Amino acid sequence: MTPADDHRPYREEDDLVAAEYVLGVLRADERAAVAGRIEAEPGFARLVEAWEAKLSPMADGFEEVVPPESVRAALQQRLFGQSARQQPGALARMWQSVSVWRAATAATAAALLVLAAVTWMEAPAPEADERFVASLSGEGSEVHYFVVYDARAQDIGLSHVTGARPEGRDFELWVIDDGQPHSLGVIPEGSSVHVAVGEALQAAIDDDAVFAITTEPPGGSPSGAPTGPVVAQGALNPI
Amino acid sequence: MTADCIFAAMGSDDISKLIFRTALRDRTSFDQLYSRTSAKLFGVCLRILGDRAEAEEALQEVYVKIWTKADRFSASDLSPISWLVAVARNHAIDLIRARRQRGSGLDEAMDVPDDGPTPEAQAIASGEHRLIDRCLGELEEDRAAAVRGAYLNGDSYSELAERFGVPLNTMRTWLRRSLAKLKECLER
Repeated sequence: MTPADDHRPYREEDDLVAAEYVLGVLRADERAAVAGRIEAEPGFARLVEAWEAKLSPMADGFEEVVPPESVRAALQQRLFGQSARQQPGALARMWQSVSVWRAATAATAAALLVLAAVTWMEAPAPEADERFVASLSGEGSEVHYFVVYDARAQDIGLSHVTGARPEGRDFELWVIDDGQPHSLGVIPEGSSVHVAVGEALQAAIDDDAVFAITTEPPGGSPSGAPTGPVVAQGALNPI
Repeated sequence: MTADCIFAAMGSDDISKLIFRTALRDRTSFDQLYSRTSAKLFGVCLRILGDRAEAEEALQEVYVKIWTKADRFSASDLSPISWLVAVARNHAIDLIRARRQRGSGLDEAMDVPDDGPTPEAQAIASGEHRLIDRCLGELEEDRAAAVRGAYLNGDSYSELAERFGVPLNTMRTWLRRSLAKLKECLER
């Protein structure tokens, strides 16, 4: 089963298991089983996340303790190696971790995001606020895209995380600026795709903009305005 | 200044940005994220593991997870702080569950029924915080203590059952009922 296929109904029992996991009272084997379900079942993962959110105010009870500086050094060493040999080592390690993640079906989506991120990082970094990320998802929808917008390159990169397009329909990407949707075009099929942004639309994509995806007839909305339901949306975050 | 005050002062948006940049393999941002959040997450590891050396090792592992899983934050509805604390707590709890038995002396030391030395002073007086306190207050005292103890100390069902002198299944029934009540109150 892929994560996108998870449409099963969840019952109170599942919700209580999610609560027990978040609270932390389960045995090691039970926790491992629940962790497996979180990876495999997005619906169950949402129950867990809701409990994390509910109980999180109790985390105020964790007192802050500054760790010794040696921990930071050890961490840097562990992740990046001791010499300042920068990109190649890091990239190689990244690819390695990507292939490991790919081994687990449920982690494939995450790996795609990392892959996409690596691709973008290879280009010289533009100035601040020229790059934005957005996570597009929707209530009751399995459609999830991770988006990186590079203003200088006039490029929108989309990583398909979950959610197949309905039979005979296309996904169309919109930028909503001041309440007005402007089409950015039909999203090509594929796990990692790009959409070019025309000059006219660049002005519409700013800090306050929201991206949205609707399902439309093949080739996109005939009227130039969205006709189908919004299956995912998300605000842009400058990075 | 408590962690929460610091987080409030800097704005959780900044932490979000640092996590997004970490997802894009930006080491400088990752290092800043560490600077700004490691005291809170070390506090989590230390409280649950009760051992400094283990907590230091665990903290490293927690940040390795944050580095490799930062992209998942974008798919989460949790606040950045809650997401980070969840990564740390779950890792620390996995570690103590993997331990065969906690030393008994340590058990005594960690046997504090509720949330530490200065819960109120430490707790930012956010509406949400008061809500959870109010809802815990609606539970019987020992059950609220069990919920808090589990969350903050990482107590297992068997440890709680032993402490309260009841069979494990009874403990489980109690706690499940308490969680359902808590949920009902928080969503009221």
